[in-house]
Amino acid sequence: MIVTAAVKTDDDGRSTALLLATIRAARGGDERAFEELMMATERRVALLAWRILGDAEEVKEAVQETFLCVFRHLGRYDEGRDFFGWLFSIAVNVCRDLDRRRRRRRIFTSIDDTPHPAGDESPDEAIGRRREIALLTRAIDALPEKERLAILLREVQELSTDQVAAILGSRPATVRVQISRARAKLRQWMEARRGGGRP
Amino acid sequence: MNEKLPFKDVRVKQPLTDADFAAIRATVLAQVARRRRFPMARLALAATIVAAIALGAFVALHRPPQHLAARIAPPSHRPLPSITATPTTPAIAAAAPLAEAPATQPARRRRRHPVAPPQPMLAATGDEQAAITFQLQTSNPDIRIIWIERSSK
Repeated sequence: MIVTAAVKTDDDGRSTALLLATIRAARGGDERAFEELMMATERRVALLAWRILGDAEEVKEAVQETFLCVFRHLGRYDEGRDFFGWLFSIAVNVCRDLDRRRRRRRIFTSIDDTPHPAGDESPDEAIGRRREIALLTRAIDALPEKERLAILLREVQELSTDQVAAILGSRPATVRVQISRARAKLRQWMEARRGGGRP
Repeated sequence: MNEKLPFKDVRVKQPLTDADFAAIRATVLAQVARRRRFPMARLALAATIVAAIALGAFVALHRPPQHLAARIAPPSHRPLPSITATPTTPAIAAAAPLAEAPATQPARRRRRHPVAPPQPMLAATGDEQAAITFQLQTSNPDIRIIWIERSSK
């Protein structure tokens, strides 16, 4: 979690040191640096929001609100912390608020949202796979909030348990329990759907 | 039950386009610029609110007690009955005010409900040795009460 050297790189290939320099400049009031910071991180924030909210319009609102929040609180950012962990914790809170405010989640996932089949898959296999993904997405959306966020951050976003715990403000042991419960529920839910019955 | 769930394939497609991101950045930067342009606006607003509250509290604390306030308060403008002196002769005293009555009649017809309470017009004639005449004017200009009191002297 602690940023130690410039050897660690994020998804965009930007070095952590460069990111840190951009953060410092943005904190000092450089608008151009803040814009660069947004450009470097917006896609990851949008994808996280998309996975939580499942609605493109809400994602726009969430990304916007997240960066406004980042601007307001950038002065409080502790450079010893992982910036993306800090950023994701803001994004998750914003998404939570949006989700609670609107009290609706997209339960039905369009088959078009699922990835296209790999080249070596037969059409039947591809359809089956896409159906599985759509089913899993629906199942995740149907989970209680804490379990849903834990499984999304751990399994879909592929963060470590410690990172998930830090973002959600829980203990790692609690997160492990939530993830375990969520997995069990998802399997049960999907088995029931595959079998034609309802959970 | 031990199968691997395809978590990595859940919502992998980026929902926003480059244009969406550009629009979001523009909105955020505009709001940031607005905040920087008017950094003292919020402070000024907060200071104004605090000053207003302080002023209200000061006025409330320094308001005079109710008995004093009642004394200071201006008197109510209740119309007093008009007293007019009329000629000593009862016949003239009775005739003079009645002559004005027709002028008010058209207005009375337009007004459906009398709004003002009856205002008696008290007229007292001054000659104690002759007669004292009281004229009471009601809200209806056609009705007037005339009281003629003969002096005992």
